[in-house]
Amino acid sequence: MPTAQPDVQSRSVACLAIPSLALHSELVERPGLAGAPVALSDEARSRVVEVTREARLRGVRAGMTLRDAVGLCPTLSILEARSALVAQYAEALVEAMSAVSPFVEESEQGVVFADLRGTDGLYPRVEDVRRAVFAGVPPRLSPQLGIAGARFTAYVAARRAEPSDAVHVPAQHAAGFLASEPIARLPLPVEEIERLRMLGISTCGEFAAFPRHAVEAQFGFEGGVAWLAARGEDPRPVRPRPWVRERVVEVAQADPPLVSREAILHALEQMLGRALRQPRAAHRFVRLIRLRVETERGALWEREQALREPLGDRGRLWTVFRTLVEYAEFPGPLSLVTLELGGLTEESGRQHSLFVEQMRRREQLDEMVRHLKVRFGESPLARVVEVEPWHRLPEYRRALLEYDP
Amino acid sequence: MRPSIARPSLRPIGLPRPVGVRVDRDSLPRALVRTDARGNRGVEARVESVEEIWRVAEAWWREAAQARTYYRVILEGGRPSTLFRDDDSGAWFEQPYSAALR
Repeated sequence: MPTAQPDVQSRSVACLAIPSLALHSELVERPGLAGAPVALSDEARSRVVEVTREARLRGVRAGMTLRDAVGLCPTLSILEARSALVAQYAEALVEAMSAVSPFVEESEQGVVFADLRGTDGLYPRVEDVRRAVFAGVPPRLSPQLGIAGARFTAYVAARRAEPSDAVHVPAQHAAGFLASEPIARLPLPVEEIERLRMLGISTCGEFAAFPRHAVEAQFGFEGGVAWLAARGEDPRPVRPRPWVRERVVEVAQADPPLVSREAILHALEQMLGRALRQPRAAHRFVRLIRLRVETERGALWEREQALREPLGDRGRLWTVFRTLVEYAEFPGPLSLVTLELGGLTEESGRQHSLFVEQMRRREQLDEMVRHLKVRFGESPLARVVEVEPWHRLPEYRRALLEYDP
Repeated sequence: MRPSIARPSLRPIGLPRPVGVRVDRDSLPRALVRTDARGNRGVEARVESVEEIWRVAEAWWREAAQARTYYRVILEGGRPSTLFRDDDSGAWFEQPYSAALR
């Protein structure tokens, strides 16, 4: 790995990759399994999804049934992926890359890109970048880092790097570096990759040898992008995550885990109160709510709802959360609940009405009806609605509809 | 907790109320007696005149067809009312009636 100070063009993009993030996340949590044959099963616990090198050496492959896998390797340890754990480590990777650049993109779980342009003053050598990134990643995740002048080259470099190591590809060597790479990694749909194979093209070098216009004539715009990528000139930029508006987050650990929906609702109601009491949320309106729960077995359930209009009223926010929970199908007893109020805005963000007095009266009426509904179980007010105003029998023309603000 | 099953929330307006009606030899209403919600009979109100009679037959092609003969009447004291006789059962009802929107 060259460590001399490279030119800016050769280190525009860094890619941090953890092949088999789900498997490695589990291995980090179980140090005793180091060096043992391990396989990750699917949710139904019927087939193998990922395997360690030790398991592969014993003939275990992804897609096998667990019965066949254990038949081939009786000492095989079978683990089940915990989506909450994987999400936690995926977030840690993003944080690690955020240490070297403010522009970070998570293209998929376990693959994170960072735009390194402008960071050469802070991290003059590639080794400095590697050290800064790996400082935030558990070594047992076996992180691989690729640094290059373009996105695709950085990705391939990361995939070729040894665990906990970095590969830097200078711009002038990118085409040669990619030449032997299988076309399967190119940014093209699976059908197009298959089509290339049928045409006898199996490496990036063979693909890049065609004239660009010929590739674009056959594969369109995407083909042109893939052609540039295969030459080490991938034009796709790093697309950083959208700017996150201010938010408040409340987390509650449940021990013992919450089982009944009533218990979840009680916990959530308390959390909402705490979230709204946070100084950051005082006198603010909420535009987005997010509820995320983890089960005791590590399964993840998450819902996000953008509110039709910003809400600052606890009662109305609670109605939204309660509805969310009442219709939710949780994957098991809940051990961790995270409530988030996002997109916080000032009250001035609310559009004023020309009919302020009417609006005020309407709000007063709505508030009164809500109280009465809680008191009596149903709204005592109704609206007249037209049903079949043309009907010759009067009782079919109009009806009363419960007024439920 | 399973989501509660929503109750039908539409309640029709202008349902006919059963009334007792005394008729003359031509089967025209001559007096009506209203009954309150508890079934108590009120005072008999005399029909001074029958202003208009019309028939409404709805869904005559169905088994549960509805055929009514409406009478717009003036009660003693000059108060108007609309009564109808269910042509099927012969029962009398009072119901406010206005022309339907077209």
